[in-house]
Parts: sequence; structure tokens; C-alpha cells
Amino acid sequence: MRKLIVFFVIILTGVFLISCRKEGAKLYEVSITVTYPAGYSYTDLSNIKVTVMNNLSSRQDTDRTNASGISYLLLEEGTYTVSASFQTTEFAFNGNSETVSFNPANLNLKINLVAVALKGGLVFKEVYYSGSKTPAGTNYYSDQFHEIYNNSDQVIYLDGLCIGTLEPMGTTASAWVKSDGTPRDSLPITYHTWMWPGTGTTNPLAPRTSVVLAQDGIDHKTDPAGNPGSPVNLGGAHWETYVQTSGKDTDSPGVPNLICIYTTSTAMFDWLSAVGGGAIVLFRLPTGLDYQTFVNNPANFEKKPGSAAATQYLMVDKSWVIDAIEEVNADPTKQFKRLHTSIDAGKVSCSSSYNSKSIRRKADKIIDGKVIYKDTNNSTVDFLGDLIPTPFIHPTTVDVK
Amino acid sequence: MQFTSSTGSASFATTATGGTDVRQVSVDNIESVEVIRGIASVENGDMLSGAVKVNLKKGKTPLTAKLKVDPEIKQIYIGKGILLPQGKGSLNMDFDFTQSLDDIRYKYKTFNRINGGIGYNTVLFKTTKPLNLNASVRASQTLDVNAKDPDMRNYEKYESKDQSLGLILSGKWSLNSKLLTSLNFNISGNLQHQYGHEVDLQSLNGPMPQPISLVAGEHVTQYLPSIYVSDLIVDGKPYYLNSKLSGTKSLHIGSVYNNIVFGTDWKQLGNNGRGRFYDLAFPPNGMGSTDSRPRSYKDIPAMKELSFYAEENLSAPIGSTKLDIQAGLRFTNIQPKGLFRSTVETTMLDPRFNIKYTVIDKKNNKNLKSLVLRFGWGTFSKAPTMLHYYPDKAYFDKVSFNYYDPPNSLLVLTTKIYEDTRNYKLKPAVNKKFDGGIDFKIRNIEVTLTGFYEKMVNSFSFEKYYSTNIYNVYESLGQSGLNPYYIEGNGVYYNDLVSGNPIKINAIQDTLFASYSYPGNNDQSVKKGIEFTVDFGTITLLRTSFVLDGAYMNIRKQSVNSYLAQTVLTYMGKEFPLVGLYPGGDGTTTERLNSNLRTITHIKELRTIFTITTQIIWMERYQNIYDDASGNPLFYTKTPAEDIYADNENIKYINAIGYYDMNLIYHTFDPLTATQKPYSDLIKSYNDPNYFIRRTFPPTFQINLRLTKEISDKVDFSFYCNNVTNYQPLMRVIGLKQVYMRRNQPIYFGAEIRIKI
Repeated sequence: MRKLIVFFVIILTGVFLISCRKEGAKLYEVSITVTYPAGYSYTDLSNIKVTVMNNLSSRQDTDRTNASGISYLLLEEGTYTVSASFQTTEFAFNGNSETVSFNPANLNLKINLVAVALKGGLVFKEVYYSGSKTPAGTNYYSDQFHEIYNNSDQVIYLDGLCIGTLEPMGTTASAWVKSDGTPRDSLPITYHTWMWPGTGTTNPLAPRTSVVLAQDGIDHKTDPAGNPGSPVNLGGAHWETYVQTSGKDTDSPGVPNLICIYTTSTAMFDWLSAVGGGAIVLFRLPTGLDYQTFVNNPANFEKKPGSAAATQYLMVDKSWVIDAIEEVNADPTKQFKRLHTSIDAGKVSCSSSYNSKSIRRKADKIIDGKVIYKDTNNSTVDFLGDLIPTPFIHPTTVDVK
Repeated sequence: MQFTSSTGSASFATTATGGTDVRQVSVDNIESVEVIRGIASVENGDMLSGAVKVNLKKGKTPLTAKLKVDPEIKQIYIGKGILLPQGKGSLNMDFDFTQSLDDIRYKYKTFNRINGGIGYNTVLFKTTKPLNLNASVRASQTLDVNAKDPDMRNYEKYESKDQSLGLILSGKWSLNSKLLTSLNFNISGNLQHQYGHEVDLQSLNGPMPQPISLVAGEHVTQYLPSIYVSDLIVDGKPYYLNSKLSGTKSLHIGSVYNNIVFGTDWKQLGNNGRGRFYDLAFPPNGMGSTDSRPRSYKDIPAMKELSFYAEENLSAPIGSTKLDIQAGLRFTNIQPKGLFRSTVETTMLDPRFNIKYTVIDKKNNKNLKSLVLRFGWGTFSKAPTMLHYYPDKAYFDKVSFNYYDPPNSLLVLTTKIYEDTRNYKLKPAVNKKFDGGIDFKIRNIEVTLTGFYEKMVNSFSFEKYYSTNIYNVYESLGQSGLNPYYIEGNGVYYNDLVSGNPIKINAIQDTLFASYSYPGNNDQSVKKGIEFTVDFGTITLLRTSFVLDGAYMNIRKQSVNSYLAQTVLTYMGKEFPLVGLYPGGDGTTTERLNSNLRTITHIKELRTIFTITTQIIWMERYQNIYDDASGNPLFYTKTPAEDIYADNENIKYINAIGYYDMNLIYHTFDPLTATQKPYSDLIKSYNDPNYFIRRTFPPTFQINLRLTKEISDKVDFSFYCNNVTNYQPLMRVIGLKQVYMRRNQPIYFGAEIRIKI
């Protein structure tokens, strides 16, 4: 009799154990729709990787979207973190949604991807070099400015950034050429070479924002020493090139000055860009913020080939160049290349000097209201000429290609 | 005049150095021109090499009208000489009008001038002691140079005026007394008024400081308005006075004929003009990089020169030969104090000596008709000019504080003035000349052959004077609206916006070199060569005479002493902080061999004279040099070259001897430690590897033509053309790679017609 009771207990325990075995939770079909950000014109939404992670169990499921950008997953009810990512050569797309709650009442999720530019850095957004005419008909060129834009999605520090204009400034063929006539790899900066001050992180430039560098940071239109015929008010300029040695430049008190690290002439009264168009470069020194070591080394300077003049030019290797523009004269017989093709394969011009017009980079895309400027290292294709200057302002519509 | 850098406008400025303006002598009134070469007589002073003496017409001349034309000048001339009745002498009058066109496209650049003169010549005491007297007056004036460039605005002006008046009184009195054979005097005076006026619209780019202080130190100044009208006047009134008195005594001592000349000269030149002046508030070159101030010419002391000279000319027959000796001495005293002392310590003593030995002078010798041997040596001194002695002050303006925030801007300038930029050690330039030669005549061919050697020391050069300019640089204020103010002698302050307490702005002292150029005597030149002339005489059959002349000349110019210079002007963003001392010895050598063949064809039947001159330059060479006193090159190349002057691959370098730093302390230069800037910049480099290569120019020639024809007894016509074939070849320069040079001047011609009324 006892043997039978033990047997029954064992059988029942087994039955109980079997009947207490948990069943799997109910799975629901969840649809996750991925969309590109506003302004991005690419239409292929397929094959975007979607990752879903259960916040409690940390279990991850991945899937790829179909042609409509929808991914279907079977998931339990719960709170999840959903992310989607995708990469092209230009951008990295990422979308993230944390603490998404999936339950029978809510089984759809839309993820908006955010684009991050993979390359892109500092570029010249706009340069106004032509100058303007005074009401009396004389020439005025103190209102020149250069606007530099952070064309990437990371903060870039302006500390140690350098800017300069190349020799020759006028409309003669460059003497700085290789035996085949093409521009050399090292570029001569004439007149002043300027550097942004700072200790390394003093002057950040937020992504998709710009700074305006003025020759004279005053309101040229209304200032008594200005020109009523000038198209710009540079009183709000972020930076100014103040030449102390000439004794003929103004130092606008509200506008911080750049450091002049080297000049070929102490008599030149201000940093004047060629009104007919010069070649300008934005670069960083290999010695970084330490410009004294660079400028004290005689190997970084050269005299003009074929000239008996004693002027020594600061030489910039093309690999240090961040951005450059080949601004030229409107007359095709007076256009000579100064920049190597790899830095700028093209040319851009204004129809004449002193016409109060500027050149601006084309807005390639406007994503989330922020402009991404076209930069293919070819100013023929990347720039528009003869525009009314718009310092501080960025376009709201894309420029026709 | 001291130079800081090039001064601005007024290119039509005055010739404040004075002297006779040769433009005022009407060419048609010239009787003869005497070119003084070789070892000139001591009667000629204050010249380095030679002189041109112009003798004007005297006596009766027919009423002549001339019309002259060439690409740049049109001129009409009328002249006449009349004999006064009863032997009272002659009167010569002339008048001309010249129009000179710089460029026919710009009518406003025409230059018109009228010029006229009257000369009176007479002989007094004809029977006893004849006195040849000459008095003349000459006046000239430029006309209508009120240039109205049609592109100028209405109030803009560009005008200049030039007028002059000259008087000469000269005489030669043949006293024939025991003491004096003749007495000569010449008094001449010249007054000029040169006036230039320029009204210009100045348009500045950006606010610029107004340099007005005539006192050194830190001062508040204003910003120049961005547009204003400047009014510049250059007013010069140079005058020149020269009086000469000399006596000659001729006597025979045995068979030797002596002519002793002794005399004295007095020269004075100065300028009574107002000078260069403008309203300091509206300077004519606001954007220029120099700091200049107006200068009055009246304040410059006049230059006075007193000379004495004595010379003996003797001619001694020795058998059938003749010996001529000319020996003289000239003493010149500049700014004299008494007879022999000079207030500027400049006196010059020039001995001159010429000897001529005529070996053969017989006309009955068929072949060798004459043979003359010549030799001479002499010293020629040239005094510095008035502006060398009395240069202008040098001004330097530097910005100490620059706060542009209208209407409460503040600008503080520090002005440094070098009050006296004169070089008190300036000496006259002295040229020692030797020459010797042979003249002979074989049959009808006359040959002269001369060798010469000249060495000029203490030649005028421009040197640079360096000193430091230490001035305050006040910190830049980072914000506008602070309303700073300046307290004289104290500094720049502003009031704290919250508390109202005055805050002194920090200042650092900045030092830089300020330099100006002054005249010095640091150049020297050696000139040597041979000249020859062969006159073949007239070949009657061809009715042509042939003259061949030519010369070989070698000139070597070099600086002598070491000099201060900055070969590089910038260091980092500022002025270069060192001044180097470089060795003397840089210069040039030039060599040339040329000959001219002149053929003069006179065809009586056609009443024409035809002259063709063929100028041939056989060889011309030019080279830059940099040698020490022994002739060793002072420059080097990084990879040693065998013949450094012939090397055309490597860059050439010259080390400084030493340098001065900003504390004006001298250091010797050690090239081994000079690897970093700015010390590495003390090594001067010649970027062009061909800089010291000798350049040789291939031979070239040019043909000039002149034709004179008498159309009738009263009319004759002349035509000349230089470089008739317009031969301007592009020739390769030997010594350089692929460098070409265009030789010869472009074709130039003119014509003249003369009518005797």
C-alpha cells in the first residue's frame, strides 16, 4: 500500500510540474517605419538596419527595412529601445527612440533618422572682395570680408586656424610653377598671414554656423569714415584684421583681432585682398598653435623664383590647406591658376571690381533647416558670383546646381 | 635732401639746386659750342669730367626765321643782328616759341614756352686800349600749362609756371700794360620762378591718422576725413649769381712765349621760394607710407663758392720742335669764412698739368706731316650741392593708441623727429685724371690717339642712418562706448562704466628702427680706355670726306666702406629687429668698344650736304661685382664652385660683418649660429643665380642720316633721321640662359627750314 502512495505522489508531482511549466509570452507584430530627415532627397529606404532591445531583458533583435522603409518584428509586450542606422559615403544616419512601450494598443513606431556629415569641415561660405564705389565715384575697398562656415556636424575650434592670400595678387601668370607650368605643391602667402588666437579650445565654432572676418569691423554704410555706397554693415563682425605696424588701420573696439604671424610688408596699411580676385587659402600650420617655431625657421620661406627682390614669402604646403578659392578676373585672358587642381580645380569671378558684389558657395542641401554647402574642391561648380553680399545670413533655399 | 621714402606729388617741382638752365638758350642763337675734355684749364672749376661752353652769336646777322619740327617739339624762331650806326656796336635779338608735346593723346600735358633775348656788343677805346663789351638780357616763360585733364573734376587743378630772367655782362679789356696784357670779367645772374599748384580729391579707405605734429613726443591727433580736397603748392625762386675776374699777362722770355692767367670766381646760389606747403589738416598723400611735413626753401641757406686760380701757359721752341706746357692750380672755398677758411670745412685744391710736344710740324714733309705727343694729369673736385648740405628734417609718426568709436574716438600718435639729418663729414668728390696721346698726320690722314685713366674717390652715394624709435603702445580696449581720454605726459585713461573711477590703460614699450638716407662719399670709380680719331680727308672724286672715330672704355664702380642695411624688412608680423653691417665692395663693371664712321658728302651743284653716320658697337659687357679691396669675391655659394663669377646654378650669399640689435649694441656675426630667423636673415642672398654672371651683348649697328639743302640763297632745309632703318634687333644676351634684349633706340627724325628775310 505504501509503495502505491509514493508512486502516486511522484506521478502527481510530475503532473504538477508539467502543468506548471511556463508558456512563452504572447508575441505581437510591431512595425517600425524609418524616415529620412527633411531635406534629404534620397528615396531608397530599404535595407536600413533596425535594432530593438528589450529594456528589461536586454534581448536584442535586428531586422532590415523593406523598400518602403518598414521593418516588421515579433516582439513581446514591454519597453524597448529602438535604433536605426544607415551610412552613405557622405552621411551617417542614425535614429534613436528610448523607452518605447509596445503593447497591443501601440504596435507602430516611426523613427526619424538624423544625418551627420562624415567629412566636411571649415569652408569659405562667402567672400566679398570687389569693394564698392563712393558717391563721389572713387574706389573703396575697406568693406571686404570673408565668411567661414562649419560645414560639418562637429564643433571645430578656430584656434590656430590661418588665412592668407597668395602671390601673385594681380593678373599676371604665377612664377610659382613646376616645369610643366602647373602650380607647385607649396603656396606662397603674400602680405599678412593671420591666425586665430586661443589656447586650443577658446574659440569653438558650432556646427552649421559661421564667423565673419572683416578687414574693418565698422558699419561701412553709416560710419563717417566709411562709404554710403557700401553694401555691408560689418559692425557685428566676429573678427577683424588689424594691422598695427602701418599706423593707418583702425581697430574697432568691439571686434576682436586676429594675430598677424608674418607679413611681407610692414607698410601695407591693412589686409587688402585683390579687388580683381586673389587666391585665398584657409590652413593650419604643422606646428599647430606654436607659430613662433614655424616662423623662425628659415626653411619655411622662399623668395620669388626669377626675381632679385629680397621679399621672403611664407610657404604653405598644399596638404595643410583646409579650403581654398581661386578668385579670378572676369576677363578670360587675365585668368591664371595659382592653386593646385587638388585644392581647387576651378575658378570664380565677379563681373568687375568695385561693383559691390560677392561670391558665395552654393547651398547643396538644407537638412533640418541647416545649410550644407557644396564643396567639391572646384570653385567653378561650387560658387556663385556677382551676388549682393549677405554676411551673417545663410540661404533658406537650395541653389540650383 | 634727406629721403625717408619717395615723397608724394609735385613732379613738376623746382630745381632748387640752381645753376643755369640750358633749356633757356635758344639753340639757333649759338655761334659755337666748345666741348672741354681731357685735362681742362684751371679756369674751369666745380666739374668732374668736362664741360660744354656755348658762345652766342654776335655781330651783324640777317633776319632769319626758322621752323623746326620733330616728333616731340615744334619750334619757331626769329633772330636778327644789326650793326648800330657810327660804330656803336651791334645788337642781336632773338625770339622763339616752342611747343613740346609729351603725348599727343593728352593735350593737357603740352608744354609751351616763349624765350627771347637781346645782346649788345661793342668795342670801346678802339684805338688805345680796346674793351670788348657784351651785355645781354634773356627772359623765358612757360605758357598755358594750366592743365585741364578733361577727366578731372571741376575743382581739381594741375598747373605749373616757370619764368626766368637772366643778365650777362662781360668784357675783355686789352690793356697791354706792363702788368696786365688783358683783363677779363664776366658777371651773370639768373632769377627763376617755378610754381606748381595741385588741387586733388583725396579719397581714403578707412580712417587714417593725421600727422601734423612739428614737435616730437606723444600727442592726440585727429583722423583724416575719408574724402577731402588737398591743395599743394610748390613755389621755388632759385637764383644764381656768378662773377669772374681774371687777368692775363703775355710775355716773351727769350724765345719762350708765356701767358700767365690768374683770376678769381664768386658763385652764389640760393632759393627764395616759399617751398613746398599745404594745409596740414588736408595732406596731399594721406594714404602714403611716408611721414612728411611742408618745407620752406627760403630757410635753406644760400651756397657760396669762392675760387682763386693761377696758370702758366708756355710755348718753347726747341730746335725744330715745340714744347707747350700748361700748369695751373685752382683753390675753391665753399661757404667761405674769410678767404681760405670754410664754414662747412670744404675746400678743394685742384692742380692741373698738360704738356704737349710737337715733334714735327712741317708742311714740306710729304709723308709724316705732323707728330705731336701729349700728356696731362689733373685733379677735378666737385662740391656737394645745397640740398646735400642742408637736408630736411626726418619725421616718423607711430600710432600709440587707436580707438575708433565715433563720435568718441581717440587717436594718439608718437612723433619722432630727427632735427638735423646733415652729414657733417661730407666731402667733395675728387676725380684724378691722367691722359696721354699721340697725334700725327700721314699724307692727308690725320690720326689722334689718346689713352686715359681716371679714378674718382669720395663719389656721392646714399647711406642709411639707423636709430631706434621707442614709443608707447597702449592696450586695445575690447569694447566700444568707453570714451577714453588722454592726459598729457601721463597716458590714456577711461572711466569705469559702473564706478566712474578713472582706469589707466596699460602700455608696453615698442622699439623699432627708424632710418633715413643721407648723402655720403662711399662710392669710387675707375675709368680707363683708349680713344682714337682718324680723319681720312676728302676724296675729291666722291666729294666725300671720311672720319672714323672710336673708343674702348672700361668703367669699374664700387662702394668702398662697409655700410648699414636691412636686407629683409619684416620679422613675423613686425619690422625687422636687427641692422646688419655689410662689407663694401659691391658695384658694377662696364666695358664697351665702339666706332663711328662719318661720311660727309658735299655736292656743290645740288647745294646739298649729306652726312651718313654708321655707329657700330663691337662689344659691350656688363657685370655685377662684389669684391674686397684685393679683388677677391666676397660672396659664396653653399656648394663650392670653381669659378664663382662664372657659376650660374647656385644662389649666392654674403654674410654680414656684424649687426646692431634694438639696444643699439654691436655684435659680430657668426654664420654658424645663425640658423633661425631673424639672425639667418643677416645673410644677404641673391635669389638670381645669374646675378654675378658677366653679360655680353652681341655687336649691333645703327645708321643716322642728315641732309642739308640750300633751296635758294635765302632758304635752306635740313632733315635728320637717327636709326634710319629702325634697326632694333632682339638679341640674345650671352652669358644668360634665354634672355633677350632689344638694342638701339627707335627711329627718330626731325626737319628744319631756315629763311633769311
